[in-house]
Amino acid sequence: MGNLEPTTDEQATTAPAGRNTVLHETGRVIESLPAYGKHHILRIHAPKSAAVITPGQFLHIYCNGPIEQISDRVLDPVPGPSGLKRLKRKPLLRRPISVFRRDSAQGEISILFRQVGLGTEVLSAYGAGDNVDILGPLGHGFDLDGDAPALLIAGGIGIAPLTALAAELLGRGRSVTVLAGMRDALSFPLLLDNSSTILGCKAGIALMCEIGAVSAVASEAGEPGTHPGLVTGLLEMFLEQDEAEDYEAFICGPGIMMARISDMLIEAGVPGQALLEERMGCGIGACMACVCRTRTREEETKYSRVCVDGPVFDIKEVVW
Amino acid sequence: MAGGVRTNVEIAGVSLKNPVLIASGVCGYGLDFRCLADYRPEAVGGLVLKGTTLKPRDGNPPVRLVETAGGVLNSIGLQNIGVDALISDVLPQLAGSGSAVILNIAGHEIGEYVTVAERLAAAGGFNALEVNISCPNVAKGGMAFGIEPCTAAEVIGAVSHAVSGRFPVIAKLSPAAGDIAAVGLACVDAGADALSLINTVPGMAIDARRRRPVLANGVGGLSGPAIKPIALLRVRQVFLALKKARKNTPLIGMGGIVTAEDAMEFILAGATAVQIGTATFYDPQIGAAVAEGLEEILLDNYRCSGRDKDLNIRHYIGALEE
Repeated sequence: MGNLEPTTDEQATTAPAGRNTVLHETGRVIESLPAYGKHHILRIHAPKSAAVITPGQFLHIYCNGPIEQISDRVLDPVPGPSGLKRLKRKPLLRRPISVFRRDSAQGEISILFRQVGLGTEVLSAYGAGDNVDILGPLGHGFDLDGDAPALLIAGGIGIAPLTALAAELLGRGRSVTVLAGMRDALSFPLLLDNSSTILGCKAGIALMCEIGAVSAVASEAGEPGTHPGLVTGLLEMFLEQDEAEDYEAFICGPGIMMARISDMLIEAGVPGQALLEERMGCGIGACMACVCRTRTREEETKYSRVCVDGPVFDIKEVVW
Repeated sequence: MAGGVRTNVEIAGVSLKNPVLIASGVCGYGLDFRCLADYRPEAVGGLVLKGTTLKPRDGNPPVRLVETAGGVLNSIGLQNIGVDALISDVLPQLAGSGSAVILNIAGHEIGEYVTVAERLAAAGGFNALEVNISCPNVAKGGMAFGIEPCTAAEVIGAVSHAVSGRFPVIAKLSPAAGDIAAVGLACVDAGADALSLINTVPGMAIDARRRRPVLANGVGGLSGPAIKPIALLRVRQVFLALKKARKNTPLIGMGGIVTAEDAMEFILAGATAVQIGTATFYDPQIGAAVAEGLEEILLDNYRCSGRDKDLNIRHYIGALEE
């Protein structure tokens, strides 16, 4: 890879040492919940994955497997409640999806995703009892070894993996503050615990509040109770506090948002980790499709694989 | 191996326990798959490692891959660790992995192919060398060589000379060649011990909303089930051309293989072995499934016909009835 010294190459490209074992598991959908707009939640019984996955790691889900069992639903010519239309074709590749909640005691994971294309559209048609073909856990999750108070910064659907992270950090006794940005409060994708309605951001951030995270929401639509504008505005206010640099930041969102947030954090001297997303092929480091530009120790840059070198990177490492 | 079924084949002196190879580009350097809990490297005939150049290459900027109807369009751009790291870091780890190791090399100019081939042949630790004269994703990244018979023969002749019989040389052909049979014959005349085909088909994906190509490189190589009929025809054309020229150079067929039936179609068209690429993305163990499925096909045929030869994969090679 890139301009690396051979010793580093070995670590980066040819040594699965340090990687966890990747399991192939057939999970079973417990519950399929349409959320706001194009957002959807699947609760899946997948005890092997639930036992070992850590926040920031992802599952590579084959959205094609149970096509027969869901075909009636997907092929329905009349759009269903979640807006499904006639399926144009079958997805071929797996889709990398992070875990939103995990209950290892019950052997359950939940995924929260937005329908952005064919794969997620099919996935949202899975119903209770359907099998889900899962490869995982994949990638390096967040480094949770620190003890600083945590500042979680989410943009849009980036809230999904950060919700799992918040639960984990709180369980470890760390304080958690969440700053979230979204287009409008109703799009805030936190439909939780079977509550069927979300009326504004207060309910929208219900989970984060419920589990003890102090939260603030920025909304481009500027509904009451939200900070009108972008999440960068919230961060600006946050960074004005004297103790801001005592925090460790964890960010996930659109690339342009993470680039801006990273710049602000680095300038303020706040360390941080960013969860990246990229189109993937194999998900296990072999095909080199899902790369991002990163800095090496020698201040050169190279392409790193999001699937195995990430998806979590130090914000100082990423060339946005 | 059940009930007298024989699926072992030979490619230019390299014995393969079954005809299923994992294609270059989808299995990295053969080590990434080791993270899989139920990985069985010995279940396939062999691995073809990532295309390697003289110096490490950065590859193309992302977006590098996009799913299209029935296929995948990629433009990785030959990101690789370079031949020296391949020799020092990778090959020792692959010793005794239980199946054949085929290296894939690429270059900008003939001299680069020759240097890479020389270093690898001197180092050893593998079974055969596949020469990529058909990468669509790098300017002068090889495909230019593979379009015309004369330039293809120049590269293959130079590499064969450099390797000088120490390892079999496999020429990987491009479907973009105007006359792929002529390119194949030229490669064989220049010293290729086997031919593999097809590489990806040049293609493009467009994001209409943004009015831009999806891939950062604009152009990519199409793979997956979408290209299987194209690949079958190319294999058949090259097989018949070789037969007419009284050459028995083995072919390695690839392009959209997902099932054992797909693999059998390539074998009937004239391939001695096959490679699986894109399908490993959704099932990294699909090579083992296809190899086992081939055994079942032979057994089924035997049960129907009662003929012993239906149990041996070699009797199917090129056996298409036209």
